[in-house]
Amino acid sequence: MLRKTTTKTNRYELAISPRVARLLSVLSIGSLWGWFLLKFYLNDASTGLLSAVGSLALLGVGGSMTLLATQYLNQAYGKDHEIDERERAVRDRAHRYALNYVLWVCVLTFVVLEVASRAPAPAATGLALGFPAVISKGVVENFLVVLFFTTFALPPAIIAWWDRGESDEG
Amino acid sequence: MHNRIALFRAERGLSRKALAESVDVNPQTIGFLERGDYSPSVELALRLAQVLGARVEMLFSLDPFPPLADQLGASPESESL
Repeated sequence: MLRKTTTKTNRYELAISPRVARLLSVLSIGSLWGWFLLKFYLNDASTGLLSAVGSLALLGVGGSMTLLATQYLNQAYGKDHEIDERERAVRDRAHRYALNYVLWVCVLTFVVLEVASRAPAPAATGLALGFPAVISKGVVENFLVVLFFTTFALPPAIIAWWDRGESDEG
Repeated sequence: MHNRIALFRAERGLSRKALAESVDVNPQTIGFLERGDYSPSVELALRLAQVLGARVEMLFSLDPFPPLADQLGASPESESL
């Protein structure tokens, strides 16, 4: 349903309930990370399985884009003059959380890479969940795609989680 | 911070949407203000007071407002009744 946004601007955006937005945020961010991890570990798997894993990426990107087409886009990325003072405070808080997310992903990635570089190679241990000695360009690209879309979708997703879904009337 | 926005708004017969449009904010912000979940800036507090026709200190207080029934009971009009 398209409706006029309740913020100070006169934009028309896809109006979804906070519950649907929360579901969409979990689905899209979870799918993107799921796609990255499965693709990383199932590199030598069959084409059918890789196609199924690829559909997770489509689901994640599609979900993120849908979330960005809703009323939460303007609340998360609205300019100062487009939203009121409370919305500005909420927007800034959501972006601080998103920044924390990026920082923690970077720290975690660094730790995983450090630990993996000291662990024995998969061939030597015979472990199914091994870690390659050299990270390919494709893996780094996939990682950046996931980081980009999840970070972009995170502020509207956070605002959707905070939204009580109250009516404008009263 | 405590406030009497809901009381004054009801007395003036304004909906949240109407009040929000008068002070140029999102209607949800009025709900946040009324519940005390958000403390307004000085500018917004002054605009609310102006629209609701009340002084800022009548609308906002750092201490809880006494119940209206107690205030009515203590007023000179009620004593004369």
